[in-house]
Amino acid sequence: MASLIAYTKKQLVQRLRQDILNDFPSSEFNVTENETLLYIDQALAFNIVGQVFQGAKVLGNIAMPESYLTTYQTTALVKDNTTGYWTTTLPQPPLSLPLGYSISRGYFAQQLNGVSQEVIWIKAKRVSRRNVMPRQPGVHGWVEGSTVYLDASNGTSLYGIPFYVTMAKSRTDTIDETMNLPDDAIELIFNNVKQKLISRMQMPKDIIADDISQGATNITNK
Amino acid sequence: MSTLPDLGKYVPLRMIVALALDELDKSEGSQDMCWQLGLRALVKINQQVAAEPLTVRIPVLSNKTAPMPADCITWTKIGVLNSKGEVNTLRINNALTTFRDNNPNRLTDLTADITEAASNLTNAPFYLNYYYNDGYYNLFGTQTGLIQYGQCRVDENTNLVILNEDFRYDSIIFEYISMPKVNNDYRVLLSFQEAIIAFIKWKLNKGTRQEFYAEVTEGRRTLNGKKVTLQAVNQVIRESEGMKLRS
Repeated sequence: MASLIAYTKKQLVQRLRQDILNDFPSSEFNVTENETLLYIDQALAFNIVGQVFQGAKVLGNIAMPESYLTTYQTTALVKDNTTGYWTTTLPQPPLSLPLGYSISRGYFAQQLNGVSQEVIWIKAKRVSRRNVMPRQPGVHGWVEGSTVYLDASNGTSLYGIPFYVTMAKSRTDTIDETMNLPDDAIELIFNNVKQKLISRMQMPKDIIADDISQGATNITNK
Repeated sequence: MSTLPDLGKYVPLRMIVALALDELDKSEGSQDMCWQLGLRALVKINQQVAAEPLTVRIPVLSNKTAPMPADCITWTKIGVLNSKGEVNTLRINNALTTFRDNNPNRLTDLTADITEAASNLTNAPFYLNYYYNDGYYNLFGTQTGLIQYGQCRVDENTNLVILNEDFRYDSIIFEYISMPKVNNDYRVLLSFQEAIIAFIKWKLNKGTRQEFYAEVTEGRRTLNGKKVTLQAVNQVIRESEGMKLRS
């Protein structure tokens, strides 16, 4: 099987620069790679949310394309001694999709015991009323920004247990990382970023059209 | 991936919820909401058809009351055991007062207002038929009455079974329907798996109330005690047939 080219964000940045500059490097083009990356991340997040809701219109059910998903091991869990909740930080705040799509799953895993039961996610609007409702056994989790709160129903300590979370990723760790997105999404991201960069630089793009007669142009010869 | 428990007589509620989520194409973000719906369905079905009564022996306190189990939703039988292992139910006597029934000195507080009542026939069991010389005889036209080993009244407020003041036994046999218990997860009779899924769909506007009750009815028909067996039919025929003239 032939090895495929791994698409990285760096490649996308290079393609954008080449396209905008017509292959001619210009010292006036002072958009850095990092700035381009920010535009890409922004376009990627916008595209994911749009694609998910568009897909829901067609399919009738909301679904997150698997290509966007990444599983992370989060930072070590820390107990908040005041509330008793365990907290950790997500790699980025979840996208503005319903919980379950912005974050697909969360679980604990250890070499000795394997994968735990799934974390029971509670949407923010339901967290407070869960205090007066029956509670299913297991670890309950809810999110505020990039902070995850976890609480075991029987008060079990979560100290030292690695926590994994699978979520849609739109931010860049390194410019050389392989992009987690379906190829069909590249087109929209490319166009979106290109449009923003051209607008931001206010760069007129040369259109060489030698065959147009003098009378048909608006350039005066006087 | 972890292996799911094999299907048995009981299945975990969480598994049924997972089946519903899968059917409805929902994410894990809806799991807890659907589990709550499943629990509501379980309570509803449990009260109506699916509950399996528990039987316990409760010691009778010195004030002739017996505390009902804390998880009792409703009782089904109160009695004492006979030598054959059968439960002889007590007579329900709603005239027994609940006055100070949770007080240890209940019996001394039951000061009779009427003192000139006829003395009780103290021997139990009582018979309404004619009793004479260590034998009893049926009398035509007299009601059969109830062979009773005691009387009781249930005080739902104080969760007590009140017994007559001269109740003679140290304990009672109490059969009741208990609240569903969480043992890692609630466990549901397999017969009602589809009913709980139908309830979740109904509440999420993906199904109807009629569909839910249809599933409950179908589930009830498949319960162990409800199925018609040849053995049961034979028993009915033999017990109902008597010696009589046949045409």
